[in-house]
Amino acid sequence: MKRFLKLSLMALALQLALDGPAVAATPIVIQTWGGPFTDALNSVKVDIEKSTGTQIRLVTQASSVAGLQRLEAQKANPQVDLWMTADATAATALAEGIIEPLPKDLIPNLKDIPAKLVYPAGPTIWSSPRGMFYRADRTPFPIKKWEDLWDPRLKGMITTSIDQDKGMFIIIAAMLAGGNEKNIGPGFEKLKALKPNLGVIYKADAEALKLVQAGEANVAGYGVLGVVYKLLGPDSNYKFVMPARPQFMSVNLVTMIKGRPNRAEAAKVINAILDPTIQERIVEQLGSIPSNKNAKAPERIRDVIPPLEDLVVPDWDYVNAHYGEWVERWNREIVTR
Amino acid sequence: MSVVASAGGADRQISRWRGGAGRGATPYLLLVPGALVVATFLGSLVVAGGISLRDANGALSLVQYKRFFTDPFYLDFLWRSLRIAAYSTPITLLLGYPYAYVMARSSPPARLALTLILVIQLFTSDVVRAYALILVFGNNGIVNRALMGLGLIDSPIPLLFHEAGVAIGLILVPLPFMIFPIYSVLKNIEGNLETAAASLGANRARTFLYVTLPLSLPGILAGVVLVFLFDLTAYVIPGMLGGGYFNMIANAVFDQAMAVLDKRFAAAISMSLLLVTLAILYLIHVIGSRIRRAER
Repeated sequence: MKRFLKLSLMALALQLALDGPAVAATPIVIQTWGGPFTDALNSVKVDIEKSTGTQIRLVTQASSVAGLQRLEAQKANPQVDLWMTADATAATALAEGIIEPLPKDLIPNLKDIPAKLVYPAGPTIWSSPRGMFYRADRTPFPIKKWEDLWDPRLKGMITTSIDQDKGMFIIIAAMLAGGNEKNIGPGFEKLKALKPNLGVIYKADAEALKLVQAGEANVAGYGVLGVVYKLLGPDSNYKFVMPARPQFMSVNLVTMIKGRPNRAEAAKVINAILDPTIQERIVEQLGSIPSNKNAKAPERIRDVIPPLEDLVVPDWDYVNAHYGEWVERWNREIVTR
Repeated sequence: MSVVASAGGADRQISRWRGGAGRGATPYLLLVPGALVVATFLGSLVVAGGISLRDANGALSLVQYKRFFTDPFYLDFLWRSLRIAAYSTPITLLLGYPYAYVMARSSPPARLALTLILVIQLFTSDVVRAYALILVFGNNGIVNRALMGLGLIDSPIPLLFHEAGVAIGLILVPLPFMIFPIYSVLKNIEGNLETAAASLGANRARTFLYVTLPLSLPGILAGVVLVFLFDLTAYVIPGMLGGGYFNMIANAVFDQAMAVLDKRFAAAISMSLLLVTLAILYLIHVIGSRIRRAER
């Protein structure tokens, strides 16, 4: 019996040595969003671990800002190697010295990322189109452009948000009225005219879909494609529109946290995430556009995304500096009955 | 016999603790977990208090408090939180007391069922409960659909996304916090007292008013404190059922801390809320003491 046990244990050890992933003992900790983002990364995790020989551990953040606050608290003793975040928040973290420039020579896949998508804080991993989504069966007309939101037939039907993408909805309103993020006044005036059509304000992107599904709103006046992406289809009542102008995509970056010991391993993981095959598998689940020029966007969103001719890239440093004023003004002037 | 033996064993164990070598250390060791919790809590308060006393340049200042107490816009968050807590709590009491009464007077199986209903609610997250309320009271919810189905209304009544919607949530969601303290007091009231009152000629209403209700006051006070504080500091319920149109003070703190990233102002609002809460707790304590003194 003892001999049998000994042999079994030896066989098991041999099996593990031959088949087990050859991964480093210290994992690379990636901080990312929960829900579909964690699911998407989990689906490619084993392959990344195999190709890099590095173990990966995912920790979730409620939002980019919540993630930033955690990293601020850990600044003296960082616990995260790689951080996935929106470009606006990455700019803040870079200014605060939380993230460090990438060792580009260790990330060969960077050559396939368009230069304009490589930010000082890190490279874009995917871009998430923003627009409007709505229930066609409950909306009196097909929505095509941002200005349609002001149609009186949509009275009380719209849900929107200021929290999503640092007030991008206000910037869009400003651009429709001849302003921009540095001349936001016309945006607030434009939004005052939208007040009768606003029914409910959402905070987190997934909440917008919940409100539309529950029938509390019929139109998400500012929505994330990834949230509704899996419900879209030729026979579906859910429609997503990315108007021709102005166009906006939230750019999600992967950044490297300063003060962590495993820089080379972390760079290998970034390289693997930027690999076209891995990118395609991730964006297929998120309804996003990959940053690697050799990777294709998911088939289902190709019809939804128009030619990206008027893509807006706000000055995030300026937005970050003035966002507090906008929130206060939004609360004082817009979300009042 | 075995019970006596075991009780004797427990006594010996206790006396060993009291008289043994570790006599001095054991109680203090047992205090360690509690002390850690208190230290963490107080440490957070000290940090938040310290942050709240800094201006934008980091210098010592009361400017954040001045901003909060002089700007009607921010004071309104405090006022509306106090107002909604003040009227939601009594309504929760009116709904919760009969439930607790029935629970205390029902048979064990019925009591178990009633307790389970509350426990399930208690262990469900506020987000889920708030979403459930949207499905019940929303434009497309059960209530509106029923009223329209009965032909009583032509279009949905907007029950949510304003103050009344938040109040509905703040009345229903904290019900277990009201019911359990009242129930725990009611079930310990001697049935003989009510029988004695009845035998002396008191009808059921009089017995309830003069015997049961006064004796259950400690439970009512505990429930009122818990529910009032739940309502005053609510975040998820106003966030979801207010639809962005009726934010309360916790939402203002969140916005400042997480959206605007102005931690100093967020800390000042939090500390102000804490002071108001302590003042209210003291007031309730004084009222409770006076009632108890008057009863004696």
